[in-house]
Amino acid sequence: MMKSGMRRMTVVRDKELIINAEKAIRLVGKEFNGKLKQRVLDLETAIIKRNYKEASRLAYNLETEAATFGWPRVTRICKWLRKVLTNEYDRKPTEEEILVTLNTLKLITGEPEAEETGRDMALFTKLYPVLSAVIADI
Amino acid sequence: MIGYQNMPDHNFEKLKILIVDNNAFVAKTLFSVLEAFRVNNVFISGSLEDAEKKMREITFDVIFIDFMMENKIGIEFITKIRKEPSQKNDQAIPVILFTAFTDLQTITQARDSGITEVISKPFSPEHVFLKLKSVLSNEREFITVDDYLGPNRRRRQPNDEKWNEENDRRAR
Repeated sequence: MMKSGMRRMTVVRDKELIINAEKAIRLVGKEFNGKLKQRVLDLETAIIKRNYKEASRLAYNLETEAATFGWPRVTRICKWLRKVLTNEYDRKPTEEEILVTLNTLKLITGEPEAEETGRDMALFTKLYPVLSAVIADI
Repeated sequence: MIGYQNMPDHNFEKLKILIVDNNAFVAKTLFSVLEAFRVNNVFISGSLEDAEKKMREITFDVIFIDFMMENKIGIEFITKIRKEPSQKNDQAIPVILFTAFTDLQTITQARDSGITEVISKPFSPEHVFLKLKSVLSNEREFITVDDYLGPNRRRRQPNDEKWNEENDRRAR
């Protein structure tokens, strides 16, 4: 009985720690949102300058961070870009596809404080005809 | 070092943890998560060189390392930890690899380098918590053979906590 009570206390404490950590992530997320636009621009600049090593590093960083802070589609697009930049796809995308993808990324991240619901889905739908090959890869 | 086996139940306060990641933002996020778990001593290294230096100076309880460190050589660093223990850190120190690459090849490569656990990115606090608890409380036998140094790759026991009356599947 006593063991069971102690165990319940531990479970409560564990949950409390996880809730605290989720709050901490939300705070870091605000900082991330504030820098997101600039980081997408940095990625674009590296691609334009054909500095592919740097661009793949920036794409990887965004890919891994974005989903943590509520930007799953940014993660998917950056994953695609990173794979393109490191030649992991058999089909080499056209420059236009890359340009459209970057523009989509800029549009998605244009208003970082806007609600996530439907924020980028509308853009995806609108851009789908041009991006269909890219989306298929993603 | 408080020792992985004798740690009080989920009391992370006295742990010393090293985060090795050249992405400052990811390192900061993980730092915040560990801080929220009340880990008082979290150190960050932005390069493998700095990590090696810190490991010569401080005894850590757990190391978190990113797979993509400097052209994917995070894996080589783990092999080095296993092969060349320092005075401050023994070769069995738990190492948690975090990576966005979850393909079979990467995971196999990571496992064969001697990692203790893998966390896939993006990570959630709950995921970090469970993996941390797992490496601290569920120490696997350390294997030393010609071509492998690291925790036993065969998991005879699940990562869950030990059996108790509340998680007994027969009681469901």
